[in-house]
Amino acid sequence: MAVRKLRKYELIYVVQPEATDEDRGKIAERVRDIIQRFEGTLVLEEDWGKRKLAYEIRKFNKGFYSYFVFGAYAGTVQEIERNLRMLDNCIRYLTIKLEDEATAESLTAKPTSERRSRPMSAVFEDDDAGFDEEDADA
Amino acid sequence: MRDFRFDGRRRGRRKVDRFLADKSMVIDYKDPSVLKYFITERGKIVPRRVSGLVARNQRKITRAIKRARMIALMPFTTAKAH
Repeated sequence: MAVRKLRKYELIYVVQPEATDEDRGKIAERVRDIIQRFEGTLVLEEDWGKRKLAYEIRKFNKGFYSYFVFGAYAGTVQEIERNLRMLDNCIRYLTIKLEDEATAESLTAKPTSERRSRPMSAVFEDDDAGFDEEDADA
Repeated sequence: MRDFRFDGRRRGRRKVDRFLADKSMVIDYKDPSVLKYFITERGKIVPRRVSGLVARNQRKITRAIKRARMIALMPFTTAKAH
């Protein structure tokens, strides 16, 4: 019998800037629901707010960023991404596998937001924070 | 010591890997404020000979920048009149 492997993932998705809070709430709810339905565990959920995009996507220059960390079994990510693809309000998504063999303890052990050099709230403090062409130097 | 052979051509001080110099700095694709030091004004990834990173960190930064590009945290290119 195949052993079900618990894996740890992080997900970022971007919702188009004209979406209402309700639209965004529905998408977040959908993600939470899928994680739960597939017997996963939601570890962390962050709303990064409206940020400037580094490049134009579907004529939009800004987007709402949401960030999730969760533990899940095979098939969960496919289902989440399938749903995000169907939602027109979602303009980008990216899932990264953090751990291939997670345990109940490792899921909450080191939330990436604490391991980061700066808390995301500081990075994204400013509504327009983000990549700034003038700042870039070689 | 092993860098003496470059002394003839090298100007200024030897670049050090800033992630080794400052252990509190973390390579994270979600943090453009760190990544932006490793791209040119055109958006290209800075080569190792310029960035001064050790191979391991250069690979990490490359990966981080490519991930950041996928979710529009970093640019693929910047349109600039040259």
